[in-house]
Amino acid sequence: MLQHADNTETTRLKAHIDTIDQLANQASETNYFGLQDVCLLILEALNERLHNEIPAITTELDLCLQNFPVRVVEYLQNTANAAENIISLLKHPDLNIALIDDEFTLLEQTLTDDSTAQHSYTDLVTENNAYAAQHYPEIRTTANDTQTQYIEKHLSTLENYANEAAEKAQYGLQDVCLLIIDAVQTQQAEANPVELLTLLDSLPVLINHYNQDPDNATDALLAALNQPILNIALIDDEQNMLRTLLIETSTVPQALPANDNNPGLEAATHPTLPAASLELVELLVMQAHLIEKLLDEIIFNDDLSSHLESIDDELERYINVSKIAGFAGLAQLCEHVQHNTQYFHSHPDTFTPHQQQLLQTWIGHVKHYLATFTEEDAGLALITHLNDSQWPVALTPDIALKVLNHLRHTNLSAEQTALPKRTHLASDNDVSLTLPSDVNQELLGILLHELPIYTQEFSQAIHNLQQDGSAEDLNVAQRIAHTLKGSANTVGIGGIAVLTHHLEDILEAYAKAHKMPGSAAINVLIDAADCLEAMSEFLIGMSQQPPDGARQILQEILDWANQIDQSGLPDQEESTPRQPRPAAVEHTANTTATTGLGDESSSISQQTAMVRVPSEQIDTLLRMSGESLILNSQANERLRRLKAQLLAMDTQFITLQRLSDELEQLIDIQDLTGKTLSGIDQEFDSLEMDQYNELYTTSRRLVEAAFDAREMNLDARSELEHMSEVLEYQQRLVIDTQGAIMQTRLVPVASITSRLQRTLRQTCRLTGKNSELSLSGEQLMIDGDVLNAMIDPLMHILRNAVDHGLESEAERLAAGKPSVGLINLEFDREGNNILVRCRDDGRGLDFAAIRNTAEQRGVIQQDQDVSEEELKRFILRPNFSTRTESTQTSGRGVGMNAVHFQVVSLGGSLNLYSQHGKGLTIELRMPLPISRSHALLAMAGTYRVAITSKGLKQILYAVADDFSSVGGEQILHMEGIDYPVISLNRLLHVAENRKKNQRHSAVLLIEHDEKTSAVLLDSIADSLELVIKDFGHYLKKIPGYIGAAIMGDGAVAPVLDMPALLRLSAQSTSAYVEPAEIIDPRALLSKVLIVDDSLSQRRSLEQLLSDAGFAVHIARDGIEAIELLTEVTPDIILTDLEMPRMNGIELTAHLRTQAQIKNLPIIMITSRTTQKHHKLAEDAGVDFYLVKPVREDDLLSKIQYLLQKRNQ
Amino acid sequence: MLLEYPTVERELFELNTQDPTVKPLATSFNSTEDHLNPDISDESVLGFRVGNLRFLLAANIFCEIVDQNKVSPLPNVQPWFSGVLNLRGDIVPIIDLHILLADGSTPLKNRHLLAIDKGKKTVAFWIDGYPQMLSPHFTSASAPDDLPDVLRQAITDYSRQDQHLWLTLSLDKLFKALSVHTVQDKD
Repeated sequence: MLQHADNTETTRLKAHIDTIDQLANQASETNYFGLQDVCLLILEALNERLHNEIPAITTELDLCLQNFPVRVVEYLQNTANAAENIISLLKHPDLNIALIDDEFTLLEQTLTDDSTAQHSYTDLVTENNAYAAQHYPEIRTTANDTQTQYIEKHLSTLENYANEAAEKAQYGLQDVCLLIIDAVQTQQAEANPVELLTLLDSLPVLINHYNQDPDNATDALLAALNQPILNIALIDDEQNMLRTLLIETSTVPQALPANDNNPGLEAATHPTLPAASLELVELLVMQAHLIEKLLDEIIFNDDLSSHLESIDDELERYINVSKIAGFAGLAQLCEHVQHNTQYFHSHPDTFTPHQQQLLQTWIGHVKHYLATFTEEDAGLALITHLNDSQWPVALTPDIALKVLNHLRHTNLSAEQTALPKRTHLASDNDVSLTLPSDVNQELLGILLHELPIYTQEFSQAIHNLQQDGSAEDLNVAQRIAHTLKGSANTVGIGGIAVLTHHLEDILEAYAKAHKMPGSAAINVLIDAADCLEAMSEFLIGMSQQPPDGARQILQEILDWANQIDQSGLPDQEESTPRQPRPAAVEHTANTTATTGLGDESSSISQQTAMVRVPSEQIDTLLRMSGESLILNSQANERLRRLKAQLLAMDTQFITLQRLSDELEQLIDIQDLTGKTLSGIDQEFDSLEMDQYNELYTTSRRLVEAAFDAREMNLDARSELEHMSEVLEYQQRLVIDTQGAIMQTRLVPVASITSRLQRTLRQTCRLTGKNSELSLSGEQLMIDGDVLNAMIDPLMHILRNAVDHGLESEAERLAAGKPSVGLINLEFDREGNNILVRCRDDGRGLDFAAIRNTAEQRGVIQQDQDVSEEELKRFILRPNFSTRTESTQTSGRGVGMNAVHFQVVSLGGSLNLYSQHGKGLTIELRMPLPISRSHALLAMAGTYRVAITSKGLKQILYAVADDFSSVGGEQILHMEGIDYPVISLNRLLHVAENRKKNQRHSAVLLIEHDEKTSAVLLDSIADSLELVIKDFGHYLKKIPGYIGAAIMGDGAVAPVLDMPALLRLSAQSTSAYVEPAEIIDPRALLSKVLIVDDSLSQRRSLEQLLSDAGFAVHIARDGIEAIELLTEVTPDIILTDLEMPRMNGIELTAHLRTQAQIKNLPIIMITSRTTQKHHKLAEDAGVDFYLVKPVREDDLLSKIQYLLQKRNQ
Repeated sequence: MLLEYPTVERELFELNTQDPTVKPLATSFNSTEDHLNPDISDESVLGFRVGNLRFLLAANIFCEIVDQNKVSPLPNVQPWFSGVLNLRGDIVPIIDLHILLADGSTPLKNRHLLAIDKGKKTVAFWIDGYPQMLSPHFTSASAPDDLPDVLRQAITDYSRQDQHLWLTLSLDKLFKALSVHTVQDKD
């Protein structure tokens, strides 16, 4: 976008340069040296701009340049004042041509001389009607070409005016513009282009004038309309009607930005008038009343002197207050009046009732001024009054002028004085980065996330500015400062809010004046950008200390801001700031820093350094640790087999050893029988020496080998034992690792309690009931994802509890209950589940109403016998609500069925326990993410399946006697309780392949939907630890399955979700009619679209509204909102004012033109407080204009109001 | 056991996207079609056949033929869901598109399991024969009349090359269309 804008601007500038270059050449050829000089000067100025890469020129200058050829033609035609007009362009401030007055005069003289010198010649040519064709053809052509373009341009400008006028209901002005456009288009061919252009040139001025002072400018506008060149034949009646229309519809007091077709953006850069300033104004008014009273009380007696003295004192006070409030002009006037009263004091004889009257009138004017200081002519009466000759000390005209400027300047500076008011001295508190004790962790998280990005962008923009940046950089920097200010204020980080606030003001002042900050200002801005970055680094824990010298930097920024407030932007190269520049912020941690920040920094540093990592990374770690666990168990499995093999080997070795022993004995016996195998040596008797033959030796070796082999086997086994230990240790380590990784996902329940409390308070306010929420188990740490998923159902439960559970105060008192309802929320951990109990002391479930609805819906028959237990389940069924449509206030949430839907879709369960007149307890069980679980491995037919402890109450080994058959259904009777029985095979629709009468080996008691069923298993194959995985990206969830696990042998076993399987099976056999289609209950919620460019603002609104029971959609700016609107049609839109690409006003204006959604309620939430913005927004079609900070109740009630109005 | 997958075969089908000079399938591939385009570029696409339908996948998608003996079937699911398989620690669902064709034809004996994509996004299909590389030159075509509805929802484009109609398959859309029927219908 930026690049594109730059390009068009550059092209435009180049076009100007080309035209003027041609003119210069032609002027030199025809001896118009003065004209040539002028052209060259302009060329130089423009080329310099091009060279410096600041192609952006103001629209005004653009227009002047466009008209330049026309001026030249006028000059050539010897039109009066033509030379003057040309010179006036040279003096255009934006061209920045450095000539002294004398030089200008000289140039003008040259122009006139040139013209005179050639006069006779030109005259001659003109007379011959060949002026254009012969001697100045090029000039004429160039001028003519451009003239047509300029007329086109004027027409488009006029069209913009017409549109703007239409938007502002200035129908008279709109008519005038359209008439002129029409006339020009028809007359263009015939009319004298110079005359036409002159007229068109004058129009923007007239229109602006009309906008400021309609009464006087109406005639001028009509006169323009009556110009013969336009040939608009208006009859008197028409003329009068238009005049009336012009005067009557001139309701817009503020000027339309001249030649700007983007009123929203232009207006958006104007400052605000915050609440704090308004308070100061009120204070001034009160003080004025006091002075007035004092003046009234003046009695002309001896006390006059003391009376005048007290008035003098009051005035002194008034001067101070005026100064503090930023009313410098008023202060000056008061000082002037004080001089007068002092004069009266010293000359009491001059003080007559007439003078008293004078003072009384004056204070009346002051009050009037305070009431109207935002208006254009504010303070004029005040000044005029002080010019009265009755005042002993007169107000000299030049002082009056200065004061008047200040009075008007005050209007601006007072508006600029935002929260907190601009002080002169920066305090340590102003740069404090201490977080408020009740900081909203979520918002803080978001801020910390966006802070480094924004500060970096800000620095970049400022650095760009330093290197010949464009106005766009200035805007970027200003927008970031604005956003950061908002975010920091929302979170409560004062240091950043204060700094960015003043930065925004400075940048805004420059942007408004279309000026680039000079080097001194840039240096301060760079320091501030560095300081912001350092603050950001400290906050996100990258550095140990808050930035050193932040206070000095804020001080410099303050000095600049104050200087701009008081005397406007410094001219050209600004004077150096009043205070010497201290060293820039130290980026690195400075351990010796002992500023006033020392204490507070240490308190913050106690927060451990945090690292923000993407949650995906945690998931990857978790997955990898799970993988390690699987590999470990596979290794263990191998080890187990290896051990078994070695054990078997050991037995073999023992056998081998025994056999070789036997062999040895046999050989020995053979020896003793004398049958020696060798007959070589006969000298010794066998007793004298053992005769070893080969067989003997071999057998001995065999025995030894067998023995050794067994020894080695034992060694190997002990090695394996060690290995087993190592593996076991590794397993523990991996489990610990997994636990540690899981820990990173844990958050305390307490982190959501404030939201729950808020929901309750809001619902109470909306329903007019009184209740208290007590919580227990807030310190419980649970998985962040689970907790987040639980917020929505919990909110619904709380809203329902207040809305339907609790009785009205009168009913409660009549029932002998305390007037304030009590809602108790209890968090607990139960196995691998989070158990939440919400107990209210209201009226409990209305079974009659439920039955009634069920009958109406044809779910049950009128005479059907249905227990309360069953009725209770009805309200959890999809699309079942006892409420009628009309009582369902929009934006207040959905029924219990929706809660149940959400809970079940998250894998949890919901139980209701109602006591009539005493209250309802809702029990939520949400599973924690299981990655590792103990499971039973069972066979269902040929399938090997794993069963986790989910819902598992007990494992039994039942005998045949425990089973009985009732009405064809098998029942398990255990300890006095009957359980319905179903086999696992039947649940899984797997063929039963047991022999008849063969008993099931095991029975599982599974709890589901408030009842317990017995599930028969063929066999339990194993009991082991499993890592449960899901079925991948595409098949996330298969009903009846939790996931799958990889076994030790590498095969996959599906992990069954027994309660879900039982529920699925129950559904198919249910006696009640099931609704055909399940509507996602969220579709019933009112949809709200939030459009805001600040992430933190967006999130806080999103949270507020989703907590209030809306389905929230978000967009970052107008463009994104419009894109989103093609997919989603919200019920209401909340939009910010200032946003990139398309702002809130443009968005609103656009939406109001779209037939299908033009009646969509739109609420604008902005920090802009001026009437001007308010008016713009209202004209665009905004229903409500709310100023930040918005009170939540206020916003909600406005939304409620608009939605109701829309529904009617 | 976990690491026992057919390494050699798998490598044949890994498309090395990092190195454009490697043309892995051109020479080592046992294509069902007799001719092979010698000029296989990065833009070439991967096609496979199920029954009488031919499907296209982007060539930069990771594919491998996996050992079909490792399939673990699941009870109580739709027939097209053949089960799951452990592929280097990821649970991979196996889809039998042949069942979705519902044209009564029986699948061929020499079916292979083609695993597509990596990590959690891996999905395996039973395919007839081996997958083949195709040059990216197609002419556009229209949808055949007899295409089952579920498949129709999963096809983003129809194109033609060498007399054959090729269907561009979107996995996201396929599973979206399938998601309504994950559990076996009860009789």
